[in-house]
Amino acid sequence: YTSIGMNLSILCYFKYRGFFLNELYDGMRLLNMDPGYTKVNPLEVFIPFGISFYTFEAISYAVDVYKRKIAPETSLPRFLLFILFFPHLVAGPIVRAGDFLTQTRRPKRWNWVRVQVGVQLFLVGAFKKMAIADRMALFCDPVFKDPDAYNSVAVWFAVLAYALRIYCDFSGYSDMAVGAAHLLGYKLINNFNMPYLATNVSDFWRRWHISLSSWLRDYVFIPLGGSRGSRWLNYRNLLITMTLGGLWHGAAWGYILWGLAHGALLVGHKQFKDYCDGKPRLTAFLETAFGTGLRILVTFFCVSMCWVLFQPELGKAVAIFEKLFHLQRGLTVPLSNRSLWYTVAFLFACQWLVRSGVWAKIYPRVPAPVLGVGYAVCLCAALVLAPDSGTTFIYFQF
Amino acid sequence: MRTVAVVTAPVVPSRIVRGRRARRAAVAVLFGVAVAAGTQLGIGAAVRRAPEAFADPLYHDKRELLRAHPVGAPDRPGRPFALLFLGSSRTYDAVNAGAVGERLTRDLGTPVSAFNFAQSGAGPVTMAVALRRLLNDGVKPDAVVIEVNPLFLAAQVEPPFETRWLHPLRLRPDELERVRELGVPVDAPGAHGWRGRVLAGHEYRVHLLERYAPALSPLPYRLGIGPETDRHGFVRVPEIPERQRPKLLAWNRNLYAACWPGYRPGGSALKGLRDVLETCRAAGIRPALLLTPESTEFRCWYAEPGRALVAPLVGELARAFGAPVVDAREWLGDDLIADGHHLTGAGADAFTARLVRDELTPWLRGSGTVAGGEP
Repeated sequence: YTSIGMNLSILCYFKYRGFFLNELYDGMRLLNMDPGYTKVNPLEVFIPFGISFYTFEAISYAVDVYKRKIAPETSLPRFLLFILFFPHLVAGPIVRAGDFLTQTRRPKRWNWVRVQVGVQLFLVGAFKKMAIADRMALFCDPVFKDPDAYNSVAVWFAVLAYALRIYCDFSGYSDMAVGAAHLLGYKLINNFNMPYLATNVSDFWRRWHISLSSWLRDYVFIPLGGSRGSRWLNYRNLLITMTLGGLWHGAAWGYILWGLAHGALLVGHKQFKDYCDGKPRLTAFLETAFGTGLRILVTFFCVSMCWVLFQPELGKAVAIFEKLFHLQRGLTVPLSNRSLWYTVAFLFACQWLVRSGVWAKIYPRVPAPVLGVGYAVCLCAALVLAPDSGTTFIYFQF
Repeated sequence: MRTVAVVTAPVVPSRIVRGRRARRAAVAVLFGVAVAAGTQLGIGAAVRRAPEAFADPLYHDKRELLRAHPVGAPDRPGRPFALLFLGSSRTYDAVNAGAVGERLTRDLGTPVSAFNFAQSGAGPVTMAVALRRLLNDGVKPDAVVIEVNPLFLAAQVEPPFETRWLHPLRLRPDELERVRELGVPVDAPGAHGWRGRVLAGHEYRVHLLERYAPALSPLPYRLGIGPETDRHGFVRVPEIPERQRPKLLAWNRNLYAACWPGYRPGGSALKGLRDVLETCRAAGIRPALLLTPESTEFRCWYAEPGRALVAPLVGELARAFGAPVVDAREWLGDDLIADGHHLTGAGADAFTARLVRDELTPWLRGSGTVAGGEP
């Protein structure tokens, strides 16, 4: 508990101090009380890079050692390597000590197959970040910055673009991190598994930011009681876990509400699942191709609506929702939407290739030079398609 | 009893399988590196053969048109009087240079040829760069009409507003210092160094997409001129439905939002204007300054007293160089202006006719400059 307390204290001091002090300040002013201090300027708060990630790794290490799942690490350099390993330092994946520390003890040898896997992952990640995420930012950033100026159609496009952006930005970074780790002889957990093909919100969280969702499951949800106990206890645990997950992302009400919304969706899914249990015809329909497609679309829609909350300014989120559900005039989309639809089609085609197993069948038969040309095309395409003004990784801010 | 032959495939030792996989992986990675490097170097070589086509398509496309135009012909006896227009998209849409040439030829009784060398987003510094390039390239017009855009004169906006469009990549390495002296802060782009050879595909990416895959271009506007531009460099804006005008006005108000509050003309943009005028003087070219039409609502957006200072400021500069000023801001009705400051096709026709009749003909006739191009 001491170790967990210390780690959380450091995280709270750097990341949440300003938020809580400002909320306390506003609350006291509302009650006509003198807070006795001035508000903290969020821009002046120094937050060490990646603190959210390595704090969770340190906590997981302490808990796993306490529960005797792993032996305590006696070598300080190895422990520091676990915490500060640069590919995953800034934005994950959140690595478990048991997985990583065993790898540090294995001798590393040059391995071309490993290099190939690393290069492939790195290139795919770079393509996702430069050619897709940064281009989607051209659609969504101007609209999210000033939603009142744009019409409802532009805002809908911006929401779609943001969903693609955040996926490609974060999964692109994760792929690059995993690829870089492979080049150095380390295998990190894959953080994404085609989350937008999830058929329900539960499935989504088994595919999105897998290292975080599994961490929350193992160190928050299960200790709270998990799915054991009554239905209401289960719901409570889900809501608390997801709200904390939202708070982990950022010290702002938008992120907290985002987490809470996902918690509510998970609760809703559980209730719907219980409802379907007594309805075999409905269950059979939902298992058909059409039913599966419908479930994927509904899940994607719900997740995209939650992304609107995923920002520090709650007022902007409210303005965006107003535009989405109350048709209003304004400026049109900042760019031609052909580029957006090409991107959607391309991503969908790639994910279908992998999910259907076609890629797994084709890959071993592709001649090596053709693979090499494919890598070159991927790299050159990423370099050419990156827009003029690149943006930093979204998850760096967490 | 039936016998069945059992054939067992020979087991490939795992070290051989590992070896094959390693070889395949090595070939794939090394081949990929070689192809990627070769592609970038190839693109770099292609760009260096025609740098302006990729780096500054706006200038390049207009220059190509000018090559085939009488105004671009060498200054020889017998050449028609060459009149060049410099400016931004305001002039691009407003001055029908072909009609200017025809009317002046008829009114002055001597052959006159006009070319519209206006470029979208061109402010005083961009015009200064373009004029110097043309002169260095052997293009010497007899007279130049220089647009003065009050938006680009907004002194309260730093850096100058035209910085938004004057990307350093458009400039030649030897132009960077001059542009900085004229008040536009530019850093040398990576493309001017080793990145232009090794990572050319990345450095010129927007221009490559614009040229070869415009559907994927990340810009909301075209970098070069389109097929709609005629051989005299003019583009006719299609008529705008009435219901769309308020949207376009609102868009422009938003685009130039930094210019309205506290508007005061002056600042580093004047250096660019002065440079253009000095270049004209040094080359023996007659200059004139032109303020193009703006709609009623658009004119009201400039804050007072700054708005009223534009005419005296421009007049003072013009007098120093003996250049006439054509203040056409209130010439046209709002129905002939598409979005507050770009003219419709009908607006361009009306504007061009009045410009020639009321300003250019008297100027060129009265200054005695028109006698086969001899001053």
